[in-house]
Amino acid sequence: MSHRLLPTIVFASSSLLACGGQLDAITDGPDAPPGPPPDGAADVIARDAAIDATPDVAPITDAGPDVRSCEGGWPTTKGQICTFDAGIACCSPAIGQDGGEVICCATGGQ
Amino acid sequence: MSALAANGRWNGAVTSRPLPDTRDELAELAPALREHLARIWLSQAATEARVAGSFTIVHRALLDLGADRGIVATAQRAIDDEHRHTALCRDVAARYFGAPVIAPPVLELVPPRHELAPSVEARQALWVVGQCAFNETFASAYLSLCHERAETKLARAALRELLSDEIDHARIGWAYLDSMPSHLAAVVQDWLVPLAESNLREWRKVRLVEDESLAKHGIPPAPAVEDALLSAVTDLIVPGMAHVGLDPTALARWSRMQH
Repeated sequence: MSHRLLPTIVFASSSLLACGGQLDAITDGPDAPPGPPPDGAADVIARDAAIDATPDVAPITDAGPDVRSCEGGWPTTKGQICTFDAGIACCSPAIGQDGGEVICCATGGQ
Repeated sequence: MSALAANGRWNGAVTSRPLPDTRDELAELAPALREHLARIWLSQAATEARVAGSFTIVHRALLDLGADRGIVATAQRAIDDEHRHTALCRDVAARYFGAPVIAPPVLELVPPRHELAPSVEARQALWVVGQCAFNETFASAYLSLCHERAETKLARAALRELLSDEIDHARIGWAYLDSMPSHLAAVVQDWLVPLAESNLREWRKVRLVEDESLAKHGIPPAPAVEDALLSAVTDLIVPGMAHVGLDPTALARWSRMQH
């Protein structure tokens, strides 16, 4: 079974070549089935389907740990590792200001 | 946080279009839940900023490797993309919190050492493939799940923006795999399982909740995340490697052992 992102990520990756990677944005409509593959990809998909269908009869063996697998990978963009023990509020009372004026930082959003 | 590049993907803007006004939607949430979600998004802002550093390394590697200029340009853009993600995540955190939030902490970046790589060139190729074809493909699968499960307008809009970029970042790796010289392809072939294992391990640390309580806010339960990651290996990365001409047999065998 192919992943629904396979055409989008893998088959369409050739569109990056020498074009600066200007690709379509994701729309927020209902999840649609994967679109048609890029030109010329049909035979590639057929080839991949043949690969998928090829039974892998090699026995599963444990060759022992590979030290290369023991090192750390690239850090993820989604790791939730911050605890913010001091809170996340940005605002603080302005020093030397009367009347409780509060100074806040900008969030940097649009 | 670095200033956003005026020639970035959205010409200096954080997102392709402004995030929706969701104040009414958020006002219905309990304050404690809003702060919890804000903390999650602010933490993500910190990790997004760190990945800008990852792409600085990947961009340099692609330049040294003499990669196609389209791939190099997309990697350069990815640095700015990750800074935009930082700003976006901080903005979302502030919206959930209902007030400005602190700048995300600066996290240390430790790239994979790949000490057994046969050459500096090989190590750089492994960096490109590991960060883009593995890590960013996992990110795309994860975000796709988050977007699919999200119901709130704010989460859906933010996740859509993130996913749109992460797909491009994954494509960097696949486009490079499809165009790399044969002597480096042979190295990558030998490293497929270690790259999969080490990068999947990082993603398996992303476990936020065990139940469905935050799914509609774009934070799916851990079992669903695990399924999405394994499906990415089995149904996306394995056939992807075959597509670029590598033999995925060992990787496929390893992936079956993960289920």
